[in-house]
Amino acid sequence: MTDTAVVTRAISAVLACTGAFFFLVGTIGILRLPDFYSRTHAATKCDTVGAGAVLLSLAVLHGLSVDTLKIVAIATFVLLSSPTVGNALARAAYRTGLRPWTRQERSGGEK
Amino acid sequence: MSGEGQRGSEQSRSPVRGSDLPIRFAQSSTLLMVFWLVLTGSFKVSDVAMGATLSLALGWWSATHLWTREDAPVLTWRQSVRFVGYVGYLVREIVLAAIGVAEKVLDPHMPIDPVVISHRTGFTRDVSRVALANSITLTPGTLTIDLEDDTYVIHCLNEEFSEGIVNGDFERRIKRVFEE
Repeated sequence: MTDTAVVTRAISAVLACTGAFFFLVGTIGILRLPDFYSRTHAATKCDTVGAGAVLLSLAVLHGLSVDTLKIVAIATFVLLSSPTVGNALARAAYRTGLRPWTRQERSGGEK
Repeated sequence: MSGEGQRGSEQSRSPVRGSDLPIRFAQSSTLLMVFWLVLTGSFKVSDVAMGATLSLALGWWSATHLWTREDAPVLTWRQSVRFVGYVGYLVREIVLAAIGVAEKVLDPHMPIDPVVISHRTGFTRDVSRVALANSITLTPGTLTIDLEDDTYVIHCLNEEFSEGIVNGDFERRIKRVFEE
């Protein structure tokens, strides 16, 4: 392996691990956060950073080719659809009257 | 280029539609064709011919049926260049906020204090409204819940994440991209 190939693989590995880390944080977030809205944060955010980093790592590993453009297209669609879905979920909950959890409520003994 | 800019401003103001139908048709067909070429990655005559046929048919359909509203999400050249700059800014914001949220989620005490804020904006195009709503949701720690009459209802995991929205930084940048 040439030096550039080693560097490329290293960068790609670091990016993939970063992506996996943010997916893990997102999953932990879904489990730990207190209510629907804050869980929606976690669920939509691992897409943004996790998928972004993993896709970027693939693009780096593959080098510049037609497939890189495909990866960019996938990233674009993830970045467009993920917030739209998150917004649709939160809006539906909000309009049906689900009240967001706040810290005051808990210290007041309500929860 | 200046002609392109002029057309963009006419398009968003003029209530009469139809005269720019050929432009819309050309734009959507070209976009579809480029997308086809990226996905197939093949320049064989049969593949390109197939793509061209489909692009023209779908381009015609979208110009006459899908984008019949006055304000199509079309950018001028100058706006497109600014949009690329904006994406760079947004990515930086996303990464910084993601680290902030990760710290909060992994902290054993989970020091979050969610607040719901509302923020009024003065946009004139639907595309900028969508851009701001989606940028807010993409940025970790903030989530657009509702948008009505230019007032955004935003859920923040912690008050510190709402800074860029409340001081109008995001809004100013989006106005520069889509409305100037």
